[in-house]
Amino acid sequence: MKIVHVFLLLVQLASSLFFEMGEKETKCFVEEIPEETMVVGKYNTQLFDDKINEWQPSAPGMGMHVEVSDPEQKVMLKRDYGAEGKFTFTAHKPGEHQICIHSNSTKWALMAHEKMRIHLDLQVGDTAVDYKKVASTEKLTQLQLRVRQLQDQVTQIQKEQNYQRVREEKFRTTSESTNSRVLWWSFIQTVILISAGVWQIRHMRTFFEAKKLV
Amino acid sequence: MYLFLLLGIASSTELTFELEQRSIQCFMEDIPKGEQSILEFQVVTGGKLDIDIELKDSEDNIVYEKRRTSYDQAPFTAKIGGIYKACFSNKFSSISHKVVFLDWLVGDIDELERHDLPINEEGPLSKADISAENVHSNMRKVRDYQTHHRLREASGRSFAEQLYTKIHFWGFLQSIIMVLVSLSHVVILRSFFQDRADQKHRLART
Repeated sequence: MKIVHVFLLLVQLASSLFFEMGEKETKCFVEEIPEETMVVGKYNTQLFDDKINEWQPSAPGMGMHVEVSDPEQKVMLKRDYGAEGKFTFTAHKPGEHQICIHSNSTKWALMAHEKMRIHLDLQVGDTAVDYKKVASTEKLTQLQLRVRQLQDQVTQIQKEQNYQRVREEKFRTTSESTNSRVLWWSFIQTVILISAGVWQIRHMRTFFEAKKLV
Repeated sequence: MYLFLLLGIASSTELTFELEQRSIQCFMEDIPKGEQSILEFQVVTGGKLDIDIELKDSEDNIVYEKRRTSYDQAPFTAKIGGIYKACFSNKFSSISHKVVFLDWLVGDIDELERHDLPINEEGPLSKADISAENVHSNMRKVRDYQTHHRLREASGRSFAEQLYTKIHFWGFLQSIIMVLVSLSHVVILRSFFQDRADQKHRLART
């Protein structure tokens, strides 16, 4: 069973996207999501081992700091996780959510490593649901489970569409505002131009008359 | 178990990351030999919505490369196994901070879809199963299109917002410039005549 477990872990490692990160670096990702959407992030870390010249899963002592902020820059989630972790949050406001991760470098500095690898998987909405778990806890048949999944998918698409409408409205307001401003500015500028010209001529005429040049 | 291992390889990761000015961000993925893969990216906001991209295999051969692109889809087959590295570079830009969307699919999309549910051990699939599966895969496509649409809308919106602030400042600045220019015209012109008038006075006096 243990061997199976190791294999599973390897598959998980092999099949996810990863990137390298320096000791004091912070990496941020953006998720633009509708409201009431669940986001699940899973990560695990690897450090380079000089002795055997290979990337190794990092020691459990190493920690990662995860911070999630909502569209109004308010912190929603701020926690320290281990070398491997899973964080979940549900968006209450639609918009851009920022997910930032960095290592708690105090422990890390002692280990004298320079770079670490982070395998990250971010799932949003219905893709975040673990249907294998749902199947076992709710005892659904294959078809029931599939229908359940379809339902979640449709709900997610609907949420996205509602959010799209909100954004489209915002977009349109901006465009209309730009339009009215261009119109007003051009009007005001014409007024300024004409009044400046009239003032110049009148002023110069009185000036010349005063100087007896005309 | 072995079956699951084989199927577990198909994966798709969607990420939206930020790229500071003059920086490079690389993402890596371990791809077995002969596996199909699609790398898709789109610059969402920032500057002229362009970016340099380079995809290298584990022996540092360039698989795919594009300069100053805003969107592309790069399908490729892994000729050798190992770690593939996709680097996004914003080195050429010293002012604009960019946001880039990335979708890296490894393996067969159908495999990925079929096996996000537990594998059916109850025997052959019924018609309902098959049609449910079709609906599921179509719905996935809807999601994909929606994502695309969302990103394009986001870049359009950010452009509109930039335009708004630019117009705002320019309009204001131009009004000030216009007033200043008309004032300086008068002052300069007056100073010309002032000199001559003074000279005339001086000539008259002598």
